[in-house]
Amino acid sequence: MSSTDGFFVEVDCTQLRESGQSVSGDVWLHHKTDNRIITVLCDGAGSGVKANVVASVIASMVVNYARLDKDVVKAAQTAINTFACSGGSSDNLRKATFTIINITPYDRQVRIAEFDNPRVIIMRGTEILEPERKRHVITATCGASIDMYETVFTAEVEDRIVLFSDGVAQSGVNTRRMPDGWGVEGVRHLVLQSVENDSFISAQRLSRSVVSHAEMNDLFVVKNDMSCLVTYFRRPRKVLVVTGPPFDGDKDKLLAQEVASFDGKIIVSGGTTAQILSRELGRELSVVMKRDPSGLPPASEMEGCDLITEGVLTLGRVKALLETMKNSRVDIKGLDARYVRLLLEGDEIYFIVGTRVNTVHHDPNLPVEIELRRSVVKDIARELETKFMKRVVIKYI
Amino acid sequence: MEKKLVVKICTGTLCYVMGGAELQVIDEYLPEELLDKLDIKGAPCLDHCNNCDGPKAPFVEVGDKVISEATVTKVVEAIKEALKEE
Repeated sequence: MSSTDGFFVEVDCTQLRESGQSVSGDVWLHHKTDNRIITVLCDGAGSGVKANVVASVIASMVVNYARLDKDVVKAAQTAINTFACSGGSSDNLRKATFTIINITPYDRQVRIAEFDNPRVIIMRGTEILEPERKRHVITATCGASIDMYETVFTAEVEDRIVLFSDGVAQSGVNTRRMPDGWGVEGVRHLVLQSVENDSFISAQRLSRSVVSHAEMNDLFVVKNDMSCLVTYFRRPRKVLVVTGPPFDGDKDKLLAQEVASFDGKIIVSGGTTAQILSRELGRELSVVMKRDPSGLPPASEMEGCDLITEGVLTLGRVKALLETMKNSRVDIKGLDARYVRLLLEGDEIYFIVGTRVNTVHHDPNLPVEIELRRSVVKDIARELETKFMKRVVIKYI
Repeated sequence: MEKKLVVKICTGTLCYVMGGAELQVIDEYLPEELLDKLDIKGAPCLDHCNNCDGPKAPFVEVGDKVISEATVTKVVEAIKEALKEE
């Protein structure tokens, strides 16, 4: 994900594996640098470990080609030559199908190469966009030829690209309700409806909604690996986390100004920090005296702040929760879960870390170890950047 | 209206790990007739931990009085005493 001048690309993928399989045969690989986003969805033929291995190899081959600025057609050709022709029979032709989305955020250019996956849905706002789709015929060394389609367009804010594997399109096959399956048209209809109902629906929610619907079509026994990958171009959602009192007391005012002028969600972590803000901004601060399911100290409330918690203990739990999460869904209740949910709703997360240390926290006789604020924040930032692909900025005060 | 006795419970990090978690629900230990005379509040940090030698957390303020190494029993006693004085 990346942000350039208020332009943000959110990418999220929801996957379900075939019932009874331990791994998915659909592989999503995402590569992001400051000036390039490459995201690939590769659907290995069949299911289980074998499909996963083939799909993983092909997906990483394709990503690496794209990273080196090689032509995507050439990448597809190599993948096909390597896998399709190995057995010599035409059954082997389609070891995997894949779609590559290549985005350069600075000039908003999007290049989509589709190789046999269901056709992607491109949306501009609530309308379906149909840019020109160029056909390339790829001939493998064994003589077989395969069609590949390439679409190039310039993205605008509120564009979406919805890409899904055939497990989604074929969901519901042979059921009484839809004997021919949901079909690409069915998916298109749901996507259109979801965007019409909520024009700011996130990539995460839209992809989840498509896959849940497909799961329901299969009557909750998934017949084929399902994946839905959504790329959403939007204005960035910002979250500010303020934690710790400034090292120098003169900076309290500055800290308050940063909070007052911030355009986005605000989290305050730390009792003293909250009191400084309350004093400087002249806003009343009150503790919610309620035992929290997480066992953490209670939250407080103040006008203009979305969440106010205690400092290092809460941050420690947030870090632990982020580290153990396998996807962006948080099912538990409690302050730490609320905190993580708020963080994950943002695209750009700004931390302002006050570096004044409360020395009594570091008394070796304390019953629990209290970590250093700075290092906990660094760990949280790393998780947010690498696992959840957020843009994180840390400032010390 | 009758002025209520303010009880402030520190919910700061140090107080919390030193046993303050129990104090949060002190109202459950108090009889109804006492509760009517009290205004129980939480405080993000009372900052007493930095103004004494060695850890004496958790802290609770009962009226003007600061109670260190507070326990439910100690706080209930202090409340009763403060109300008696009034």
